[in-house]
Amino acid sequence: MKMQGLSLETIPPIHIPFRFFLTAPWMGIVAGLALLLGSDQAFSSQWTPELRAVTHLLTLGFMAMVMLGAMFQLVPVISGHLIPGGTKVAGLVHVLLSVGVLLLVAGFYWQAYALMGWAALLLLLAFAVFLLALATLLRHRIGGDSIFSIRFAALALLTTVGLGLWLSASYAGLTTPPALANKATVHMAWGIGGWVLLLVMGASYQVIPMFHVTPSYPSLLARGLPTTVFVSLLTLTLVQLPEVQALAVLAFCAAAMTYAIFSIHLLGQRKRKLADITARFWRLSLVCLLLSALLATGLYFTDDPLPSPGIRHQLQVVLGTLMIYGFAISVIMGMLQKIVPFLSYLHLQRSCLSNFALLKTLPHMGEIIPASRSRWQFNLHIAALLTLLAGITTDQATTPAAILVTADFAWLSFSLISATALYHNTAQRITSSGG
Amino acid sequence: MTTISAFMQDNHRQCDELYAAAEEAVANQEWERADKLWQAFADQLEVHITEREEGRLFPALEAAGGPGNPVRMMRMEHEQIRALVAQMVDALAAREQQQFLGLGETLLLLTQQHNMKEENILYPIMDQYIADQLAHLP
Repeated sequence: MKMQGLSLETIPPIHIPFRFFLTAPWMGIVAGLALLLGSDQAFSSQWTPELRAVTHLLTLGFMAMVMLGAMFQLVPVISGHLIPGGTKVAGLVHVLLSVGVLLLVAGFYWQAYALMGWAALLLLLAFAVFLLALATLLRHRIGGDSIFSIRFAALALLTTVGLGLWLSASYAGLTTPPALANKATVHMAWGIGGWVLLLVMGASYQVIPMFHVTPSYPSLLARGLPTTVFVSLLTLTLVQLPEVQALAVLAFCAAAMTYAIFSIHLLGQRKRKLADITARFWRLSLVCLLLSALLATGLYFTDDPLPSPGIRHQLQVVLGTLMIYGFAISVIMGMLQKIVPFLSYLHLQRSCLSNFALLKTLPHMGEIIPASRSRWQFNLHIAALLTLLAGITTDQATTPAAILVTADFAWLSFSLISATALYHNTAQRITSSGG
Repeated sequence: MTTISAFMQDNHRQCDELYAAAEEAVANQEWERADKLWQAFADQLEVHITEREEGRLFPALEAAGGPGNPVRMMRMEHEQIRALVAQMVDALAAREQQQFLGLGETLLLLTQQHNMKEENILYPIMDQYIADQLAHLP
C-alpha cells in the first residue's frame, strides 16, 4: 500500500460539492417549465424537441451535476488524496457544465443546431477536466468493490460523452454522424444503463450498509454485476449479430434485476427500523429499475405483435421516464437528504476544533433538513413520477405533470438553500465566538 | 486465521447493531429499555475506541514506526464522537426524543465515515505492521 501523501483529513472545502448541489435543482425547474410551456405532443415520442431538451436538463443538468459534485467530495475521502487542482478544477467544471447544458438544451428546444457545436465544446472540456482529475485518483488504489464499479462507470461516461459530442457535432454540421446502428439508442444505453447504473451500484455498496446498517453486498455479486453490465453494453455496441445482441440484452436486464432485487432484500434486513426517507427513496428507485428491466426485455423481444408504432414509442418514453425520473432522480434526491446535512455538520464540527464547548451548540442533521421537509420531498416526487407516466398516455396529464415536476425540484431547491443558509449562519456564529 | 482488519470490522458492525437497537427503543419511547440498550452500546464503544484502539493498537502502530498522521486524525475523530455521545446521554436522560434521534443520525454518519477510513486504510496498515497485536486485544 502506498502511504505517501496519504492523509485522512482530506475533506474538500464545502463550497465544492455545494455549488453543484445548489445548481442542480434549478436545471430541474427549467425542465419542468419547458414541459409546461411546450406543446401537448411533447410525450408522443422520445424524439420531440421538448423531450430531448427536458431529458438533457435532467440527465446532464440535474443528475450529472449532482454526481460530479458528489464525486469531487467522495473520491478524495475514499482514496485519501485530494483532487489535483482542487477548487479551481471543480469551479471550472461547474461553470463549463452549467453553460454547456444550457446551450445544448437551447439547441434542442429551439432546434438551433448551431448552438450545439459550442455546447459540445464546453461539455467536452467539462468532462475532460473531470475525467482527468478522477483518473489520477482512481489509479491510486486497487480499491474495494465500490471503486471497482466506479471505474466501469467512468469508462461508460467517457463512451456516452464521446458519442454525445459526436452526435452534437453532426447536428451542428461539423462532421458526419457516427456509423453505428441506433446511435442515439447506444448513447442513451451507455448514459443511463452504463454511467448512471454503474455509479449507483458503486455508491450503494458503500452507502446502503453504512447509512441503513444492513449486511454488506457479497463481493462476488458486487463485482459480477457491474462486469456483466459493462460487457453486455460493449457487446451491444460492437456486435451486430441478432443472436448475440439478444443474449446481451438478456444478460444486461438480468444483471439490473438481480441488483434491484438483492438491494431491496438487503434494505429489508436493515437493523435500523426507523422510518427513513432515504431508505424509501432507495426502494422506489430500485422498484423502478426492476420495472424498467422487465419493460426493456419485453420491448426487445416483442417486435411485431404490438398494435401500432405509436404505442411502441410511448412505451419507450415510459422506459426512459422510469429509468431517469424513477430510478436515477429518486436515488439522488434521497441521498441529498442525508449528504447535505451531514456535510454541513462535518464542516461545522471541524471549525470547532479550537473550542470544543461550541460543539454542543451545532445544529444536528435533523435540524439542517427536518424530516417533515424530506417527507414532503418524497410525496411530491412520487406524485410527479406518477403524473409523468400518466402524461405519456393522456394529454390531459401533461400540464399537471409539468407543474409537479417544477414543484418537486423547487422544493428540493428550497430545502438545500435553507440548509446552506443555516450552515453559513452557524459558521459565522462560530467565527465570531472565536471557534 | 483472522486479521486485525476482520476482527475490528466485526466489532464496528457489532457496535452498529447495538446502536440500532437503542435507537429503535427511543423511537418507540420505551425509555427504560432504551437506557439499558444504550448502556450496552456505550460500553462496547468504550471497549472499541478507548481500550482496543487508543489503549493498544494506536500506540503499537506508532511504536512500530507506522504513519503518524492517520492515527492523529483518528484520535481527533474519536474526540468528536465522544462529544456527540455526551450530548446524546443528556438527551436520553431528559427524554428528548427528537433531539436524541437527530443527534443519533449525525453520530451514525460520523462514525460510518470514520469506520470507512479505518477499515479501508488504517486497519490494513495495522495488518502489515503489527499483526501480532491481535492476540493481545482486550
